[in-house]
Amino acid sequence: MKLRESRSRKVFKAVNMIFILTVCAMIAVPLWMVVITSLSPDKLAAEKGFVLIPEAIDFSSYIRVFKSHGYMRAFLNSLGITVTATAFSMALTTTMAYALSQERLMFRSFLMNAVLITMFLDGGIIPLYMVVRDMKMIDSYGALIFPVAVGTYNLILMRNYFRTLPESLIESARLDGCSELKTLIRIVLPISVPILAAVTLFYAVGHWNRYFEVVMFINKGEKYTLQVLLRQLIFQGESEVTTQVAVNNFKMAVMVVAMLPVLVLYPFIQKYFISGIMLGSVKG
Amino acid sequence: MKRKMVAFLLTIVLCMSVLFAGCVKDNTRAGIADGTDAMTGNTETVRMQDENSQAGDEEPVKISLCMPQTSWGKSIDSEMMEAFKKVIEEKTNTQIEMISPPSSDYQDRLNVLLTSGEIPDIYVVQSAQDNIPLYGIRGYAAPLNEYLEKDANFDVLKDFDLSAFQVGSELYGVPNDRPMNKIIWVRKDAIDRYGLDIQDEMTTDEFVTEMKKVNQSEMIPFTFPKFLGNFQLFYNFFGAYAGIVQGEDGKYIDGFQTEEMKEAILYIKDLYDQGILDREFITNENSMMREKVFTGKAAAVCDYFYNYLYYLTQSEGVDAYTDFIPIYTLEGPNGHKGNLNESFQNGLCISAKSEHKEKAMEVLSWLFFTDEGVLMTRVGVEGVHYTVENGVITPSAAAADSGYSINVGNLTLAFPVVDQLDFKWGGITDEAYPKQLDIQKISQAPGTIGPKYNITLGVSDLYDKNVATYTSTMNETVVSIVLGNESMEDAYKSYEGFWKSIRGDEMLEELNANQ
Repeated sequence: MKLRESRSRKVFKAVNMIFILTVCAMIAVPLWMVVITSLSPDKLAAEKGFVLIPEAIDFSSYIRVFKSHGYMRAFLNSLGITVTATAFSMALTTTMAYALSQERLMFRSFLMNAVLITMFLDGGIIPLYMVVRDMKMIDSYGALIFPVAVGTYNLILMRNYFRTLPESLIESARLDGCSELKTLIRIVLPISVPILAAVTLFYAVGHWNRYFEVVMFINKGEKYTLQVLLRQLIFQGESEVTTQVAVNNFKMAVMVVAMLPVLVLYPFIQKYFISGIMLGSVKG
Repeated sequence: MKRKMVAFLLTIVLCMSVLFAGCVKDNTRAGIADGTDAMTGNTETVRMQDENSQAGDEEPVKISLCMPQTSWGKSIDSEMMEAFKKVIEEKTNTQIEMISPPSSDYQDRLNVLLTSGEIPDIYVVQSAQDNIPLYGIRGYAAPLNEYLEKDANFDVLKDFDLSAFQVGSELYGVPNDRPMNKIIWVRKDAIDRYGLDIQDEMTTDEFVTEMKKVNQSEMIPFTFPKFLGNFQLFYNFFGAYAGIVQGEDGKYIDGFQTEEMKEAILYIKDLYDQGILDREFITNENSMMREKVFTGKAAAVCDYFYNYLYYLTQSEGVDAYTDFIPIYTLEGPNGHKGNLNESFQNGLCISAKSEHKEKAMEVLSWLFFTDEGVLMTRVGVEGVHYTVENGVITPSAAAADSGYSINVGNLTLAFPVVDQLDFKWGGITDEAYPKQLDIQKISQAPGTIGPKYNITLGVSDLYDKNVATYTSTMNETVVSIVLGNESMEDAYKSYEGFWKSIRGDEMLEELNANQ
């Protein structure tokens, strides 16, 4: 028997749909305009600005992006830093979260508080700069990886997830003679894919979009990441003094290239993404 | 499973080794000139010359040089920046440590460097008139008086008032550009189309009359940048000044609370209400504003004097070519004149802690005060950024792809007047270049250029503490009146409240007492 929906229910669903579509449009339309502008020829991009419907399609902006050594280098820098820093961050976060999730850990409460305190108190950029400088990491990729290796939020998320795992599982692994590391690698990690995927994505997006640390710790253009180059490109046209105008279609093409890896990555781990966050947030 | 694990660990190790390879600070890298395909034989020459100079008697002195990324040869391509650095090293027998923060965040990075005690030997300072005296007081910048006297390249500065860079008699920095000012540019095709009568100088009323002839459904009559400090252009025509100025009796007064200022604001509001002033001016980035003009969407604009060549070439690039006619100044109802004087924007300092101050001054002198250095900083390195083909300068393919463009107008900003060139600019530029130089002379002539007043920091604590909010409140008040959000009376009532809150009268007393 098919239940008839009440009128108020239908109205609610319609309003809901309109609201969701509006929110989607607010996100999709600017993105669409960026893509269309990036595909517009120079003259049209200058004359028409941002348009919804393309008058002509031209890939020359993308050709310029990929031909240019500077952009490709920045892209590879971003890619290299993201891959390495994410791997490093995950290695540290996973082991630390696992240790902090174990009741038997000595000074667990003190260590947890020490971690938590960094969420609320920040020394600021000058002390951080001095630490990085004294570690001889200024103008090195290390400055973009080590000082930002562990995110407290991600650590807590993962530690909470590990605490939801059945204690009996870990106990039986120990009884079978597994060391702590083996237990982590063989038992805990294979059943923690959702949280690993979610935190990996968090780290990857964070490292990919990293900007401030690059500006502060890197001296030379050859080590700049794509995000810095992108900002620089836009600034070139906006500066009070300079009059070099990077044509809009070129700027937009760089933006699309910068967004692409995250856009491509996201759908593949989206299914783990939500479940990972939900599971991690249940137990405090 | 075991194999997968081993493979995974090996991948991690590989990634880490790649990373650590990048972590190693490489001070001995050979730079761009070593075997880069895109470069021409000229670069090879640079490399060979460099080797010769390195083999010379004197050991190169290590100098750290901090400039915005775009100042390293007008390109953000790292290899081109490296080539630029190589030439400085070769010409000055130094080993340059390059610090090239992105232009957009340059001042933030510089402040971190200065505050953390890692002061570069030479550094560019943005908003130089505000920052350089401050850096002098805080011990970041060295006094330059004795070095300037020794080097004839700096003699050109004697024609300029550098008091804004001084604390007492000590000069803590030098400008790296000539003073800048903005005038009004009008498209010639708009003049012809609407029959505008545009003169080098005209009255404020005539300007309104002529701009009203522009059909607003076809063109924006007059576009303007979002930077509200630019309204000083109009204030000048009414004898007003947005800031603390000396009145006729020599005492400091708040220029914003004068009748002249109110008259000027009403004039701007009238331009806005009549649709002459761009309705979207409040969101106009410079790039957007310029694009409106060179594409023919706007008939006139307030912009730098040196952008004549820029507008010509850009309008040609989008098939909207026309000549651009300057209005050097308008004349207000009481005979006041003067275009927008922005004075010196960027400056150069030497670290007070530098162990090689003399050498640092030598580098600074060569780079910014010799024809050769100036040509390189403004146009780039031959064979890298550009080549000369049949006597005409052409951007190299790699440079063009990295956002580099030959900006001739920028060359006219340098202190040495570079008028003897081994190449031609090509296209319309050669013909227009002398006109650009004339525009510079006329727009900066006494009587045509507007006033610029500075209050030296350290004279009044209240002023030092409140100057930033004072400026922003003035701007907010003006924009509120112009956009019609508040009446003149209400807006000034709020402003007077603000003035009291910062103890404005006390601030004036402090300034007057310490004159």
